[in-house]
Amino acid sequence: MDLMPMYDDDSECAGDQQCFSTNMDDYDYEYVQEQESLVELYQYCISPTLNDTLWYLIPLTIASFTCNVAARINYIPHKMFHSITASTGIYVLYNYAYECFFLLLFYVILSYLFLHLPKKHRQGTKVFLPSIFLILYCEVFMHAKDWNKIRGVVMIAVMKAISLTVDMSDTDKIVNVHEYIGYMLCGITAIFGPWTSFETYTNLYNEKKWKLWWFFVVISYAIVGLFCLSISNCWTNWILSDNAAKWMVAFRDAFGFRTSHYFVCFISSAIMLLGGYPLTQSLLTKPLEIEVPRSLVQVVVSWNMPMHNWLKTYVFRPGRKQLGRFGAIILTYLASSLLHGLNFQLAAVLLSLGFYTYIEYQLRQLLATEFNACIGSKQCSAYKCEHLRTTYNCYWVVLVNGAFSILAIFHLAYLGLMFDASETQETGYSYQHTINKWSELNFASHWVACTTYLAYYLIR
Amino acid sequence: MMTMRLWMMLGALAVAVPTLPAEVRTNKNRGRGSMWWGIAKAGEPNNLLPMPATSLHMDPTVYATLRRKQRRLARDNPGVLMAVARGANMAIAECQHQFRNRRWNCSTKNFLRGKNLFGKIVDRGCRETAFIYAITSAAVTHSIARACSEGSIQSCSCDYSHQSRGPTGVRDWEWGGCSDNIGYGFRFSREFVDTGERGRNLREKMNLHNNEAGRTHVSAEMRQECKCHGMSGSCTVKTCWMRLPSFRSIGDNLKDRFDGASRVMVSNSDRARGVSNAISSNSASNSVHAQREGLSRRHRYNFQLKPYNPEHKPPGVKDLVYLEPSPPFCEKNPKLGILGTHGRQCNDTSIGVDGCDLMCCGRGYKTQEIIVVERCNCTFHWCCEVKCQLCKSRKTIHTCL
Repeated sequence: MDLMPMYDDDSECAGDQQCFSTNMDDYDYEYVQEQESLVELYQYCISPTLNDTLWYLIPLTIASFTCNVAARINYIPHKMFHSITASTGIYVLYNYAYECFFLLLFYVILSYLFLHLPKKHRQGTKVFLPSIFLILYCEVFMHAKDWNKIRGVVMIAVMKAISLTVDMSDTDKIVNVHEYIGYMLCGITAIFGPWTSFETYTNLYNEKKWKLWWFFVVISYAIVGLFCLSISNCWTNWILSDNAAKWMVAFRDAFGFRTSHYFVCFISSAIMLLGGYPLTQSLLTKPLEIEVPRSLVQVVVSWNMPMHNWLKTYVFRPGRKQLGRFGAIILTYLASSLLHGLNFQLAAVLLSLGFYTYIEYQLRQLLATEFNACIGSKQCSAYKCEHLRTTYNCYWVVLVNGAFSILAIFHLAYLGLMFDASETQETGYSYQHTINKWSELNFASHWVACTTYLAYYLIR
Repeated sequence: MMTMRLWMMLGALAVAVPTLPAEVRTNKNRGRGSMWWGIAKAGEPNNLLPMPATSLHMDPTVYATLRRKQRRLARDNPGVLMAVARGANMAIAECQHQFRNRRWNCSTKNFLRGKNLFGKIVDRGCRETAFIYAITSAAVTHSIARACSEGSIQSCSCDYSHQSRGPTGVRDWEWGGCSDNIGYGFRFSREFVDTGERGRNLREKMNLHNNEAGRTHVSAEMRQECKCHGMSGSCTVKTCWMRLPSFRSIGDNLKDRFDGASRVMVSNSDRARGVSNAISSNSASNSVHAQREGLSRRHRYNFQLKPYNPEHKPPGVKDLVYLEPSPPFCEKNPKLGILGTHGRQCNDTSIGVDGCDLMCCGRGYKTQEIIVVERCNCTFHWCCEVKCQLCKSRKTIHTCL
């Protein structure tokens, strides 16, 4: 009943026009397109994401540090050390990848038995057989969501097993079972990777000195990683909203995907270093060379360096002997997409990337020899460049290289935009999703690549 | 059978016919517009005494727009008044944006003491009124939630109690941030906006329903977003976060509901609405500082409005409801607070409501060429300044006669 009289004096306006303002006056409410404020961004996005991730990483950090301590203590015997790493691995796998826990244990035993086969049954392409079976089994019988969750874990295990089998393919020597299980299940690399060679793993035991400054490197890796995570989750969407121009959105989504990859890589670096791996092996990706690439080849190399080394050593080099350069490239990308699971989107992206890098490499090689200039896909070494014209003495070399990097950035935006935060991200992106995303951009990048190939074909 | 149906029809008539005009007339001042809307204009010097914006809560002219309970709320929750004022402005701006091309363009009056900001259109229980109630209530919810997250309201502290997480097994992601802000906004909006709407007559029920619809739109749009991280696009780590919706999207949704609003009449049985307002159930924690109104509160939102056309579905929580058809907005009608479309700009090429044919209600329109001065060639100077030039351009405008 309070303030009731206020409602009564409406009547004084009846028939009186002056009570109303003119229409034009009503537009004085300038609508400010509200942007999420920085405080809100922190409160709703950055803080929960980082908080969540840190909690998530604690068991892995503890497991990794346990391995490090076990290696440094002199009294722990060789076999004991490998048992400790294996048990941290079991703990970590149980904790993070329960879906594939028993499957992985089974796979470890199976691949160990595989090593005992006579040499001729485990050479050449046969080394891939157990791994292909594992991946196919997961692809067919596992729930899509679970499979997509543990794909990375399975991939690491498969890469380890294959590399060891290939290394052992010429000898009849059998690896020690403790070492083998320790290597396969090592808690440091089991979840986020990266792939490390058997030799690097066994060398862990020989490192006895504490190096405290490593902790600062670990912290800085972790900070860089978490910063990349905040970019991927929060900043990209904050800076560009969904209704920006479609190519800007494409670039944003692709950038979000790349920063997500940097996050995984840097966290993995930090965990690796914390577990006692040497500093020289701990840099897994080079973000600057991916963001401002010289060429797509450089992107592929810098994306995940251990993975690149693995593919080069175990797929590309053996493949080149039999299939030639082009065949080997396609084989490598096929192997890579098989490792990533039989996912249409990843296969499409990786195969596109395979063709793109091949075309780019050939064209730039041709141009480099033709003009005797440093415009190849790979940077000439600074001291003994075989070309006459370099970036130091010729301005258009810089321009041509710049143009090729812009082309690479364009291709990357196109290829990476599909790894967005849509509903299918948990189950793996579908065929439909890929085609839709690409057709929104009219398959522009594929057309550009075709044109580039045509140019190469005509020049040749 | 026939007789029973006849009796029922008669019964319905007996209830419906007298209630409509009688209630509207007798209880003239109940449920007819909310005075607090006037707070939107409170900062403007030509209407009120020149006052620094920070001392809003001391301003007597602001207090004049509030009911006693609203004053108490403002006193007990320092900082809310600024948020409410911001919300009211947001609501007006959004309303005028959504209705910029329609005959009724959500015009507001120059605020004078004791006036209703939107004019006498709110005396009618029409669609436009429904929209005004919904958008203002939504704006208060949104603005309070925002102010909470910015920390400018002391009484809404974040509840960090439910952050525990199990380390093993398949984890469902749990929200660890300050999600309760939206709940606070919702509850505050109920206390503040719904003051005086007791739900005793149809019009008050309509207001309550529309207020609630506006709030529900805000809390339903608050969405969780997640992203996967892992080796090459796998989903080893999933991180999630929350996003408060932009007010524009709420305005868009409410406009959609405006277009599909349902005309209602009151039903005999006051049914409980069930699980529609999950958010209201947890009002025990982190409560808005206000005295409970006892029993009446509990039943205030538990009513079901019946569609005017019995073949239609009863309105849902998010739907807007109205009681009577909208008056024509073509001609000036001071009794209803309608300005008419004289002098409004229109689009001569459009065939929609903003087109000159419909906007001018067939009266025709005149075409003028005017010179518009705009800011143009804006350049960004490091850092952080934008300099613009003033450009003159000729523009053809059409205005209704």
